[in-house]
Amino acid sequence: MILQLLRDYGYTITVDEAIEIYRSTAMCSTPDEIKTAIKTIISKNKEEFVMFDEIFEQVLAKQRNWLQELNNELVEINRGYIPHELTHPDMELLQANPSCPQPIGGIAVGAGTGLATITGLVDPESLLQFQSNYKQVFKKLMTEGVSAAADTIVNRYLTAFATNFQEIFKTKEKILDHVAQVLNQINPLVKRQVMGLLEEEVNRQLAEVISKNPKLKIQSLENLDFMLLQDTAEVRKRLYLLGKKLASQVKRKQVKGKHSIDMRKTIRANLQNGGVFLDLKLKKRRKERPRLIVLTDVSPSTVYATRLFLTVIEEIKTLFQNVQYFEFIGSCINVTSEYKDGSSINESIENALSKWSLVNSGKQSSNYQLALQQFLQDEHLKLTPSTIVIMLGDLRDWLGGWRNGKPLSLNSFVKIRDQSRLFFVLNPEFHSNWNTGDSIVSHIQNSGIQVQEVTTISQLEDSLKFILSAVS
Amino acid sequence: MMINQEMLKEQHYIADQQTTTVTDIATRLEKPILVEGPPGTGKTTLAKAIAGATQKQLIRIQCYEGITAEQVIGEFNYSKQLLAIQMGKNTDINDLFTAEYFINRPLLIAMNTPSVLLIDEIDRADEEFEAFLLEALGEFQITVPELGTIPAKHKPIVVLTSNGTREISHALRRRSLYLYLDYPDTLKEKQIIQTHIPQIDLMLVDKIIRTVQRLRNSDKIANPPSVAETIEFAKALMILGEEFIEPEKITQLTGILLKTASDHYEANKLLSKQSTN
Repeated sequence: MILQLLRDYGYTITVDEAIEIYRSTAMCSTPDEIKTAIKTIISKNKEEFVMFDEIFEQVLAKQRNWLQELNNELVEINRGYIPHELTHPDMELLQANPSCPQPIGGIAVGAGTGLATITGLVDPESLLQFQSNYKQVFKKLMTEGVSAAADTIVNRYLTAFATNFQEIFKTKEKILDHVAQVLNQINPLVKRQVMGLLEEEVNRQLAEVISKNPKLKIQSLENLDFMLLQDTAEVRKRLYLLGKKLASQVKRKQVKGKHSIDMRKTIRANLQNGGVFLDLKLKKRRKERPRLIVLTDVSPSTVYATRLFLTVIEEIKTLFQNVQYFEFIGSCINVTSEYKDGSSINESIENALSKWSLVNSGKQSSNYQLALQQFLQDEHLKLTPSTIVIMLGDLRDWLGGWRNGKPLSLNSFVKIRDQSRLFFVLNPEFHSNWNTGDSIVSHIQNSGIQVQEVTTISQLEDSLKFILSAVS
Repeated sequence: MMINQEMLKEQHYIADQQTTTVTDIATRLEKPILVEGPPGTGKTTLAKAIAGATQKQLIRIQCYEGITAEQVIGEFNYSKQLLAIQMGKNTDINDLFTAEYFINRPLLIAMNTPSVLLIDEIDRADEEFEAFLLEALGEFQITVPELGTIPAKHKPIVVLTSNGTREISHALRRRSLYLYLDYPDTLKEKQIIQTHIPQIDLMLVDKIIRTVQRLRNSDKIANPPSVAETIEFAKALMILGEEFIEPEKITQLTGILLKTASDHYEANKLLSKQSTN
């Protein structure tokens, strides 16, 4: 069952599409053309398009007579057009409504997939042990042989760290390259003998893993947690687009709002019509753009989320009258000039982070009490009732003091809340980890400050939408 | 009508076997092709090449935020209707809402003439517009309430392109054949450059491709150089001299390949790192 197999891999193949495949195979003259025809009909996005080649090579091409089997299957489906000959289970659906293009079977999440990710195989334990340690593979190779080394590559590295099929194969090449380099330093002859065997074994094991786990769920980049997102251009581009989208949505709302009639101008303009109101003059909408203060935690645990967050902020900053940037760990620094002077967001982020080399203390551990005190004392701070303050931080007050069971930093939080229009905290830590150890989330929430989990791009989008609703 | 690689090559379009097969199947199955890929990989040019190869008129709808169905189907000619009323030509109001007073716009024109319909950058259009296209692309018919359902006299070859600004709906994807055009491999890019600049030195082409691919392979470049930009870069080197591809001078020409400050910053870092290494 070729089509069923493809459905198991996440492809949504409708009856209509199966019939299209049948029609197109009749037009193709070579197996390669048939492969392309199936691929173009069933793929709905880049990931499925690229994934098809890998699945084809690893699974379908290895099956003898795949072409014949597919042909039999398609003939059976196509026969559905003659109701009395219906035999295929899918035909019940066709019989009920011949033009119904319902998807049958499959586990694909369908459209909307961005950068596809295989999560079915990811072992969270091994993710925590993430190290680009090729020596381990080499050690296994020397002590336990080719098979064990290949097993390590496939199970420990590829399936755990790959972000999609393409990534698996790229990673495989990368690891094999590194092992080859190490072997080459020892003995080129050994390298030649071992590498061929190792690659063969890796491919065999990989094919086995993929064929045994066809139900690989495709998850979109938006729902993938920040931990798994690499700081690649693709992620930054996605965030840049998100920023643009949010900005244009708010701008459109501002333009679409109702305008009231400006009576003074209408009367003046219509004097020439003898007082008949032919030409209505509408009041121009005054855009009240609030100020924005971005307060970001750049401690090692959150600095990565901060970078992603600031990429979005860069695109929506035009919606605000003025944006001020602050960074904090154990102390707080004003980095507004770094963001204003930087020719690109990357440069600005780098410049702002490099400013920490000039700070004498507070670079190591979080201290919200001290950091927020410094923030409130900043001579350039413009905290007004029209200011929106967004803080990105995990609210882990490692060094901050406590009194009467409450963190001392709470006073500063309350001050910011009282002096601004909206104070919103975005927490890049999983909700399940809140209020454990040195986390002060519950205290902040109890004081009426909204704290939102932002561990994925879609959560970031939702939170920013909420904040921007105050702007439009 | 069959489309093959040679036919596309005659239109100066170097297509691989996959692109040719998809184009051919789409033409024969009368299904739209949804082409996605990074900017500058030949999505729009593919439509132009198909039009040239099939000797059909190319009708282009350039999508943008706010584009409406009226702008692509057509609308009633109000001035003409007003004039008809003033002249007392039509006394019955229903006579004013006929094809005589309707101005046909690209989509309707494409349905009436043998053509290749290019719906460019569909991702920039609003979702409402995309939903409206479903009938036209799925059934090859258009419904205008006053005129009724207008079936296509000639089914056009439809090419939809998208740069991924927004996710295209599953409904539209299902009605189309999917083609992803990525950056070409070395050999194909070499052929493309030689096709556009026949007098170029082969050694220089190699150097250009190596430089461009280095930028494309970098994780830090958000908008890597497209094929069109590579050709521009090659043309610039032909004018200024080959020495501008060397690490010391190449940063002066990165503006041809990369168009954002952020990418410039990363590229200069990357290329200067190469020169120090």
